[in-house]
Amino acid sequence: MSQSVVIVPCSGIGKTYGTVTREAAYIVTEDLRPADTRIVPLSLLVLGDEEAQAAVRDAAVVTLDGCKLACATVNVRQAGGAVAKEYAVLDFFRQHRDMKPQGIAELNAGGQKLAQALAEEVAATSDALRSEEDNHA
Amino acid sequence: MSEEYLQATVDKFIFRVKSDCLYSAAGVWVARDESTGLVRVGLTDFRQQASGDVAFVDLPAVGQMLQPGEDLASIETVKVDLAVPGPFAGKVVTVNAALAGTPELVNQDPYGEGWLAELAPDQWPVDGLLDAKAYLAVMTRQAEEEAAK
Repeated sequence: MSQSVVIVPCSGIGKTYGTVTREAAYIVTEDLRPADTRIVPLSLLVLGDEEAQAAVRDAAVVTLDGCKLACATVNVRQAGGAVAKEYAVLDFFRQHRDMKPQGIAELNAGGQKLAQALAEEVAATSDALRSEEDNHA
Repeated sequence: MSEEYLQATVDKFIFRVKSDCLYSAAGVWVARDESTGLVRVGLTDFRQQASGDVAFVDLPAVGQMLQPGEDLASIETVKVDLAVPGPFAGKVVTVNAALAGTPELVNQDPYGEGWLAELAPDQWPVDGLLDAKAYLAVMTRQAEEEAAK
């Protein structure tokens, strides 16, 4: 059986769109696909943590970025990992205009809906990545 | 610094002001095509940077008559919902349809591909618009006030 898909969300604290990425990552790893996915914190990659770097090198990685700096995607690549799928929350919001995120410590209803929608898409992506991996095994 | 642009640095940010445009103090640039008499308008570099990444741009209907200060466009960014005031009275002749699919053009190329609309002004020249040097001074004050918040 294939290994867990690694999800790396934005680590921007105090940023609404960063909060959406983390909420989405928690929904995937705790509710939707707890057995198939896990989070690697971006902060560990930035700090050069060897275990975190090895995790993104050895697994399929999905990045969730809160802004155009795309720190999650950039740092996974700098750690030697290959990003299987990258999501930018702003692009995702453009497809879901009725889910306007606001708030930082606590997202508003729109932000929670956006995080849920993003999580469902990430979960589907995770399924596809694991299926591909199984087919190649 | 390019002669095409004036620029100011405030805090860690650099803001460009296109030399051959006129400006409203609200951060709208105005460029008249002498051959057609039509006036293209858009958001200044300072206003787009201060407003953040653009998610959606709602533009007026072609044919709509605008009064000075009336909403020319509504721009939704990651930080604010911005009502862009029209800089003069006139009729909307064209809108930038590309912004429906790629609103980020307002951020990426505010004086070029990110233009908002073309208007036929009721009269020209228009009172109250600033040249680039005057707008640079106004914009610098606005940027310094925002940086001090």
